[in-house]
Amino acid sequence: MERKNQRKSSPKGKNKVPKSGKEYLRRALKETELPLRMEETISLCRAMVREYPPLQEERTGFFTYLSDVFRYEGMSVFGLQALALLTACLGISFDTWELSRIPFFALMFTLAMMPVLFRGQMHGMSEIEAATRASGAQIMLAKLVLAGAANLVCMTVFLGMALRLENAARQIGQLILYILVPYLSCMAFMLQRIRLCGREGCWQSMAAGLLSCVFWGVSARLCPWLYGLSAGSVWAIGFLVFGGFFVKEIWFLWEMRKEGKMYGTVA
Amino acid sequence: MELSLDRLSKHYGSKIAVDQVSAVLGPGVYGLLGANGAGKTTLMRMLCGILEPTAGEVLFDGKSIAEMGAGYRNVLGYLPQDFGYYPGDSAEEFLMYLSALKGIPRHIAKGRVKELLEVVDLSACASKKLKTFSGGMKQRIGIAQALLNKPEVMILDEPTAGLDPRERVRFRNLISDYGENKIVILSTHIVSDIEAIADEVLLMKKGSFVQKGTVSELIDKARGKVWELTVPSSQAHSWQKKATVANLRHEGEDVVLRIISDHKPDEGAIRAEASLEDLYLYYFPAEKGV
Repeated sequence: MERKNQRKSSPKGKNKVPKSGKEYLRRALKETELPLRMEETISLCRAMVREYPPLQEERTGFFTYLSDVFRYEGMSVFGLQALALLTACLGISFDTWELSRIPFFALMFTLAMMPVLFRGQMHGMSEIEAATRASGAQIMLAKLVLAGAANLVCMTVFLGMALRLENAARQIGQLILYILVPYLSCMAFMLQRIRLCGREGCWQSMAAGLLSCVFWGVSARLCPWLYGLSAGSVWAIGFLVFGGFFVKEIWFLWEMRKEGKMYGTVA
Repeated sequence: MELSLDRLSKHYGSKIAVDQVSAVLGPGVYGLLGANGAGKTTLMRMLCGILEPTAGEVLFDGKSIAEMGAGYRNVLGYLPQDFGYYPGDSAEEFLMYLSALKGIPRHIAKGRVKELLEVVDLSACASKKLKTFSGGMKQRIGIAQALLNKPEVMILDEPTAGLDPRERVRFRNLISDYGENKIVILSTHIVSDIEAIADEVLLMKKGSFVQKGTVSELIDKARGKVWELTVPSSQAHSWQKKATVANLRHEGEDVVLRIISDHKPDEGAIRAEASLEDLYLYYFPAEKGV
């Protein structure tokens, strides 16, 4: 199909396009035996190659690529998230459980993402991966899409279970705040580390995540009103900052669509 | 097909790793030769687009590789100097994973992986875990992954390191064949590899190309600078201290020294035939034992 398009757009026009290279050469050389007119044959072949460059090998599109990454990473992403969910659910099923302990569980969901997100750096594969068609950034994007989807499912299940146990539907806003604020602060730090560091980023993210969850967890337990206030403010600021960021990025990707780039269409 | 380096520079703070390097590379095998820290790996990373230059740009067929993005990476094959692997993967899984990242459809990738495992003589170990592989086998799988997408531009950092002599010769021939109509840039410390297959040698020192040319052109430059001197064994040590000694060979009570020097080092010294290794030692006198 691509070859057909190339031919149609050939400056020589549709009528002059040969059915095959051999026929074209025969006609151009008026049926003379080709080896006797070697120089002329070679120059005609060169002209043909210039006019009709060899077809580029087929490459996969975004969704096939995402599906390929899912095939290789999906098991780890969803397996680890399921493990985190199971641990968190066991944690809240004890009698002594309180709503204010939820921030401690947020850490588990971020920790469960780290082996997948830092896999390339941990095994010294990031350089080879970065030089592939997908590039390091796109590989990370695909992993984040998968991990984000797994997070969404697992955290929804977890919050659903927490609500059922507490039997406090009116506290849903507070519940979301308790899990999302520590989760987002861990994630923002982790993304920054992924960008700037190699394998050390994993340990730094773990330490920062632990500190962040302890901070939010302790403040939620000891000073719920302060937690509510500060988390609400962080949430509002985060919403504005990330909202602006996403609008800007989606606009940028949309503009890329005009240049025929894959991610523009995905935007 | 042409890869152009236009005043390419890379600075790390005040340290200049690559300094205003320019070259135009057409199809062929290019050998990048230089001491450790000369800037070879930094240059190769910039040619792959995984390291952003501080100044200058790399152009492929007149288009900036930064702007080409995936279009350039589609035609690029890269073997880094130190590369890792996922230990749980088998050779076949590793290559299939990289095929997916290279955007090669599964039906094409399957055949390509099989074909390349044969080329690198690892068909029998296709399903073995990479963690059980020897250093040479890992290097061979690294070369196979660089060839997966049939690259137009192949950048190989120390491709023959860790290979036994037979494998080295095999890969030299493979690279030489490949470079007939593709651009192959290889960096190595093994001068004999470059001597055997490079169409052009780029000698790099302190971030710049100090010499460019074919192997014979560069050997010509070393002509008249290589001497052989026979001295008693007791004097060999002092000669090694005061001159660049490329080689030392015992002959009975005496030692025959191969000395690299602009001037005749001693009355008894006689001129010797130069090699690329001599030129390397001439430019990098501190780098002995290459």
